[in-house]
Amino acid sequence: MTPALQVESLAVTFASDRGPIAAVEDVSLRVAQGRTLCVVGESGSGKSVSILATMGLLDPRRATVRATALRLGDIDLLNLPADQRRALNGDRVAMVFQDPMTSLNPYLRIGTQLTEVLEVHRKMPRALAATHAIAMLHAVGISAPTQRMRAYPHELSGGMRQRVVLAMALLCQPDVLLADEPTTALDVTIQAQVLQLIRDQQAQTGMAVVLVTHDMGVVAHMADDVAVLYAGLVVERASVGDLFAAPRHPYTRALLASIPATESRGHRLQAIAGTPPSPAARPPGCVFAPRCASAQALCLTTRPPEETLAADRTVRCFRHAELAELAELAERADG
Amino acid sequence: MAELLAQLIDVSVHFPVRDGLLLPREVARVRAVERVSLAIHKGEALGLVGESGSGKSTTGRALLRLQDVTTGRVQFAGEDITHWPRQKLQAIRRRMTVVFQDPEASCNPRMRIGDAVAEPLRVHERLTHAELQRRVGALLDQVGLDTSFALRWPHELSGGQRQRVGIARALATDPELIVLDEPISALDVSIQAQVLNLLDDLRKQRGLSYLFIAHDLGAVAHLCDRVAVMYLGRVVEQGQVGDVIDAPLHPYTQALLRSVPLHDPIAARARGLQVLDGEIPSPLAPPSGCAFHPRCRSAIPQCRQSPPELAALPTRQVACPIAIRAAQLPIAS
Ligand SMILES: Nc1ncnc2c1ncn2[C@@H]1O[C@H](COP(=O)(O)OP(=O)(O)OP(=O)(O)O)[C@@H](O)[C@H]1O
Ligand SMILES: Nc1ncnc2c1ncn2[C@@H]1O[C@H](COP(=O)(O)OP(=O)(O)OP(=O)(O)O)[C@@H](O)[C@H]1O
Ligand code: SF4
Ligand SMILES: [Mg+2]
Ligand SMILES: [Mg+2]
Repeated sequence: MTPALQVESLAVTFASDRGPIAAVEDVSLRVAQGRTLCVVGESGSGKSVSILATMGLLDPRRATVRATALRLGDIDLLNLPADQRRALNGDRVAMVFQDPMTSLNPYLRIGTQLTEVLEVHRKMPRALAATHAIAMLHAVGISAPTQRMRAYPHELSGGMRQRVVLAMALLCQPDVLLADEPTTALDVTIQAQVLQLIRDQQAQTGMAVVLVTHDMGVVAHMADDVAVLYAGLVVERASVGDLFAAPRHPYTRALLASIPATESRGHRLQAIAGTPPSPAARPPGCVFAPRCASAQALCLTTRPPEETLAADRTVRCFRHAELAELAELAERADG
Repeated sequence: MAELLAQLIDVSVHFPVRDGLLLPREVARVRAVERVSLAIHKGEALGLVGESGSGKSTTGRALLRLQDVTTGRVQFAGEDITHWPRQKLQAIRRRMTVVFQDPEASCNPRMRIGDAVAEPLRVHERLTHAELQRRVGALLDQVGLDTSFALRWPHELSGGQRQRVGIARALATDPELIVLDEPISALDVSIQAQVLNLLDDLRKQRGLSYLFIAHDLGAVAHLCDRVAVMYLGRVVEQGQVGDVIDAPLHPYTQALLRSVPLHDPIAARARGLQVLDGEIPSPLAPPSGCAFHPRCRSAIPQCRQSPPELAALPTRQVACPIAIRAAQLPIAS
């Protein structure tokens, strides 16, 4: 089946006073209709830049974007004129950011902003658009939606604003929803509301979802597939079950062991020493090598290639097979 | 049980909302903290969790006397410090310190790391230059930074490193109590574990007491002995961390725990995320009775009338008569 969204070997370089910054080195993302891909990684790993590049939202004067393929369903985004590509945003593909105010105009009533989406993309008369907007506000769990249409963004709480943004993103029933940490700034109870909402809408419309997060708990709940980013590279890609049950990249394994989850209390956390490299100072070999407990000489000098283990399962580590065997032995010894 | 170190007794903190420029009059009150009692024993870590705006930071500030209380009492090391004037407080300031959420806030950008760590020592102690340097080096070492960091500037440090500097500063005066106000929230996942382990080690080595304020129940589960759950200014449940997480009694704690994501996809899908209806009400106009009643699935008409008292069960405190009845535990008198 054609993926709803396909990004192959994306690379993004920013121009800066101190020379080019390779923010994203090699990122491939694929997500099928009705499925959710979670993109995880630490701050600065290139999650947002990858998403913005996919949407065509980076300033071409500052950012050089390269990819071997960029497809939205059957549409080849790489060779689409800029204006046609822009017209797809908010229509076939929609985006939600961490800060809802990125998408909302503080000076306009939310009703105006919602109906405008349909007037522009669907050429809908205002009254009809308003009916749709009210129905969508209701669908995202906003009480008294007719009255709320007249509210300004500042009159709503953070959680409500994020739901309005989600309503706006969903109005045109996009094929793909790209959500960049949509719940990071919210309390867990509100996070649960927003995540559930995304699931419900997905179940109804079959949209594909790309969800950027740094929270492995959110991944466990939402993902079908996961791409783990580290320093501008996808270091591991797997189905959510495989990733948690048998992580293959040392970073993924270390990350999972370092999470303070309520379920794992009583065990000492296995912190990963050191910090991720900045894009200006990426190590020449494996980007994780300076922090990796299993690094060997080769890892320090040569970038490991992306290796395909199975359909939709890749890993970027020289020692993954060996380490997987060791992990299995250790597990057998324990159990 | 270990000796009591610090406590809040029936503390309320209200912020007046004023109107009018010339003769401002109080038009409303934010009831940020409402009749909260907490006790921290020597060597104990008490977690304080709750949604944004529930009054966690204000509670922490009241405990340190950085915030005056409207009613109630604050005690530290056996003394009632509720009304101690500034000067008198100065004498115990070194014994209770604070680490804030924002690693930037604990670092003055124009001060080298060494000077930032030395600052509290200079305020509280008279030391020779050599002695000061030795102490700063030892503090940096304790938080896992080598002494070369003393000469670096804050902007040259990562978030996790800056947070370590904040902790080193808080440790400088050899305090007994540290209020940690979301010390890891701004950090990357892989760095959070480093800082949590550090805090855990320091507590064990030095017999420190913590009030650990957090959104993240997982972090609390790892660091704390007991936890208090706040909702709209009130403590609704308090108990041993394991008990509260495994068997929450208050409907709010139950909902909160069921909205915390699990870290195993199979368990996650089996349980799902419980969605709590409605929004957090405004502390300007808290609902009558139990503030949680508009969102509570167990609510009965009585819940709307008077705020339930925090009742002491043998190992737990819960502010919900329904929960107590359901737990079928006898109320200790
Ligand atoms: N406009 C820009 N110019 C130069 N560098 C940039 C620009 N935008 C991002 N970067 C750099 O690219 C890298 C990747 O940034 P990105 O925002 O994608 O990280 P992220 O994974 O989304 O992190 P976070 O979790 O903090 O949101 C970072 O090192 C960042 O500093
Ligand atoms: N100085 C102040 N003046 C007026 N209102 C205040 C003041 N400080 C806090 N508040 C209010 O008191 C309530 C509790 O605030 P507090 O900062 O203690 O909450 P919190 O639980 O720490 O929240 P968060 O998780 O967002 O840090 C909030 O409604 C807040 O707006
Ligand atoms: S007191 Fe009543 S409303 Fe409050 S939590 Fe308990 S049952 Fe619910
Ligand atoms: Mg980002
Ligand atoms: Mg706070």
